[in-house]
Amino acid sequence: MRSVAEPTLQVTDLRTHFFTRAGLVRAVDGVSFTVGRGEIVGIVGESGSGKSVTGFSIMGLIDSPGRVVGGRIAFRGKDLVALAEEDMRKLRGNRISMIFQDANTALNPVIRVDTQLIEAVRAHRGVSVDEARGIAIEGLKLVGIPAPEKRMKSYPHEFSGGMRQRLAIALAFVNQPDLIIADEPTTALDVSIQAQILHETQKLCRERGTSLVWITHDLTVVAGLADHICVMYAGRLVESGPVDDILDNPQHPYTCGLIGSIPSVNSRKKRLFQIPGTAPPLLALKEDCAFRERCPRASKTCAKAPPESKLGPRRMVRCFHPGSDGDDRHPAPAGRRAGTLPQ
Amino acid sequence: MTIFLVRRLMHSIVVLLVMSFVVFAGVFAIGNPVDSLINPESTQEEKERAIEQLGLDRPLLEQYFVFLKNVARGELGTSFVHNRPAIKLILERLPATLELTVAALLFAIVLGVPLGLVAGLNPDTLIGRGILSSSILFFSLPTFWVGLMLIMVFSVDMNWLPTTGRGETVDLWGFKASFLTLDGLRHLALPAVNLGLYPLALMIRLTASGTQETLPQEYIKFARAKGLSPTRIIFLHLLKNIMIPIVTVVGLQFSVLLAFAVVTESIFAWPGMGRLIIDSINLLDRPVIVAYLLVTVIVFLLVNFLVDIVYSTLDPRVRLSGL
Amino acid sequence: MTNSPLERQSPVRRFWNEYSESKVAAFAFFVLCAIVLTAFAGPFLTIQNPYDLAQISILDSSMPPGSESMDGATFFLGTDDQGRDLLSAIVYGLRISLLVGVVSGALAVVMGTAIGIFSAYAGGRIDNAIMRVVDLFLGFPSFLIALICLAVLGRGADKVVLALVLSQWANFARIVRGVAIVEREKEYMEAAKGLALPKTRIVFGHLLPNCMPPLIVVSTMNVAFSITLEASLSFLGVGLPITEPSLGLLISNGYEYILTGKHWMSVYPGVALLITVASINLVADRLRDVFNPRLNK
Repeated sequence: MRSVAEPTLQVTDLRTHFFTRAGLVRAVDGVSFTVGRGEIVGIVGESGSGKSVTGFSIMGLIDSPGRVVGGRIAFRGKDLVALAEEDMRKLRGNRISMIFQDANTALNPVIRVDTQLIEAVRAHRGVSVDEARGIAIEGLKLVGIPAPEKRMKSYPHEFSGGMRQRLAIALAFVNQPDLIIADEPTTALDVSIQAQILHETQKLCRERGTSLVWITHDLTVVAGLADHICVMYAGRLVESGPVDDILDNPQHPYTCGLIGSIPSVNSRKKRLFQIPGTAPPLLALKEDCAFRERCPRASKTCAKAPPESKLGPRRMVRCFHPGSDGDDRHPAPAGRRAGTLPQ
Repeated sequence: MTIFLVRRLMHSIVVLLVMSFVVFAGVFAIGNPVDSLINPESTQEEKERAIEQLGLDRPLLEQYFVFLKNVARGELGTSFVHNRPAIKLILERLPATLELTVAALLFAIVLGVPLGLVAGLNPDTLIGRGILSSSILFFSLPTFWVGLMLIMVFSVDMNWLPTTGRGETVDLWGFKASFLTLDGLRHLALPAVNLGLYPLALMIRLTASGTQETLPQEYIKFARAKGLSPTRIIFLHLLKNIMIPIVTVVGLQFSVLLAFAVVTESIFAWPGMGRLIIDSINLLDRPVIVAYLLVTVIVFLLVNFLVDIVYSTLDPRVRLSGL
Repeated sequence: MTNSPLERQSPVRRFWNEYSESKVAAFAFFVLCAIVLTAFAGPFLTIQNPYDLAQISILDSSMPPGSESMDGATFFLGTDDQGRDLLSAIVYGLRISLLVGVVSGALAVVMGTAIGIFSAYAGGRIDNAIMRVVDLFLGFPSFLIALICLAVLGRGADKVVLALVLSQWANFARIVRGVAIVEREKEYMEAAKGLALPKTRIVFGHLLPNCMPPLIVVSTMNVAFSITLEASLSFLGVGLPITEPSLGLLISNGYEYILTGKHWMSVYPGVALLITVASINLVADRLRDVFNPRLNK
């Protein structure tokens, strides 16, 4: 008997490490978050923060020299970390699917689109090729690809960038999964197409009650999309909470900096805030707060591992000096407006 | 697609013309065939008559144009030694050489691609490393010496397989073919393995490195994310991408093997063009050398043409760009 | 092995440490050294000069391995049909094979490098024309090119070397031109030009060092290939003359005796050839692996 409130995905203290020649890389180091049924969760972080590795860990697609070394990934109550590869394969593309960053490289260039769609259907459903073709065409219609019957016979390179990403989204939805992990699927696209894709993915998820984890480096993207936001920095979760709470009342200095760097309508004439410095190399990480070097609030205490403070049932910050910046230098954008208007 | 093929065809014709001149000029420089063909004790008058008869007294360029005109009519001169049309001599022996070359390539592909796949998928295991190391050994084996060793072991010591000739042949569209009879196959086995060892090593290494380059590609990860079975990922998504460089190399190797068939044919007395060309070089039989080179070049170009077609069906991106 | 930090090791030491991670390759390197030393010291190691007629006796001909000669010396690998000690003949043959392989390899590298750099810097039509010629050469199997050359030139060590160079230079020209084109565009070349360095300095100071890794790998493999090619040509009787007996000729001599069971005459020279070529190839293969991460950077 599953309880009604059981979340689709519950990640607890996930640790994914890479055992490279140069040394141990703690790409994901103790990340916890929950995705409720039909909920959209945004994971925000710059490159190297471990956000993509988190996504691939959930998919069970971490390759050597990387390994999930600890934690639990409970998908509808079942721990995926402990699952045998063959059982995991049956979930992949079926109950959990993924949209890759760049459909250009994710679709096999030498295999026709229909083959790539039909095989995805037939890998998980005992249907004939013709039935699978029908399902695939329905899927293409759903994401707004014109003349799908004709387009099925094309190769990926014959599609435009936006159409190709729609194709990838169609592939993600084709088996009506419970959870979709989207790894920056709009970064490779033009801004206008980005907005369309974002909107349509959101609509499809809402209509079907599909949970969505949207991984991005761009806070504005998830601001308009997600219900819940997790901010990652150097392999750790630094702050998480409901989207409005995070945007209106950020606690971690990194989150404050991210919000301050969003160009918003009412701060047009002001200089945009910039977080100084760059992300630390993951190889050299120690116990201390990884953001210390770039942090305006840093103090001597920050040399110790910052504790996790619970601010609410699903609201967390990991900092010795939490609090919204009193400074008016970079006011938080009002509500979600900043996010719905990508720059 | 059609434009692409027409352009390739034009290109081939240009190469053929250039080669015909290079071949002709190169071969013209080989000593004076008169010395080796005419009895040294013959009189000056007899010599001159022979030179005139063979057209050797005219300037190089004139000889070349005469040669081109004759080539167009399918006449490449008469062998000084055999006193028969050179082109006939070559064409008679071409099918045997082609059969040997194709058999060697097939041997290399059928064995090399699976072995390379195993090595590429398991690079850090004992089997994977063993396959790769032995491929270096195959690379290093001198073809002619392996031929001798094969004869020594399989023919002399064990008496399993015959050492010379094509064995029983069957007429196939007017050509003789060995591979359709058991006896012919037994004759074909050793020469084909001998000639196929080098391309076998190449196929293993090519497939292994192709596999290792393709595995980290996003589309392989995406195929896994779709939940496809490992078999489907390997045999469709991976292999179809690896086939592209393999087809290219097979095309190139065909030319190499056609040339190296000279060695294998000499050892196994395989009645192809190879033995004939060695004898012709030693006897300075110019028309035969020229005929051999031209036929070889035409075969090269034909094979390259075929490879281009296969290539464009394998890689849909080529079709659009037209290369 | 060493616990000292990476920076403290000399580059050669570091290179060797990385190279010798493959035990097979390390072994191949030592074998290769032994072969080269043997070939160098040949006359001091062998029991006879097999090509000095005064030192061989026809009475010792076609003796199996381990036999004793008339004057008490042991023929460890037997003798050939002329009564030569096969081991001595192999050592002498090795000298010739290595010499032909190394000399032709070196000449091909020099010729290819010169043409490649010239082509890259000349650019435009000259570059185009040179590359057409290179493509033409690469389009034909080197064995065929060498065969044609020898057909035209006749026999002899110098001619074999020339044939080998002509059949291989194009490879190097293409590699070097590729690197040179990339290097030419690089910023530091611009910087070097800004400093008004002479052209020779640019080529020798910047360009060549960058061409080195691929050149070393390919030329090492090329030496192995040249040795095999020369042996094959000599075996066919169009390569080296009898007066300069390489390993290929030794095998060819023994060929007639294989059917009569006197296998040693062509087996052992072949084994020597195989070990030489295989160890060179193994070293080259490992060099490529060691260089590769650097090439990718």
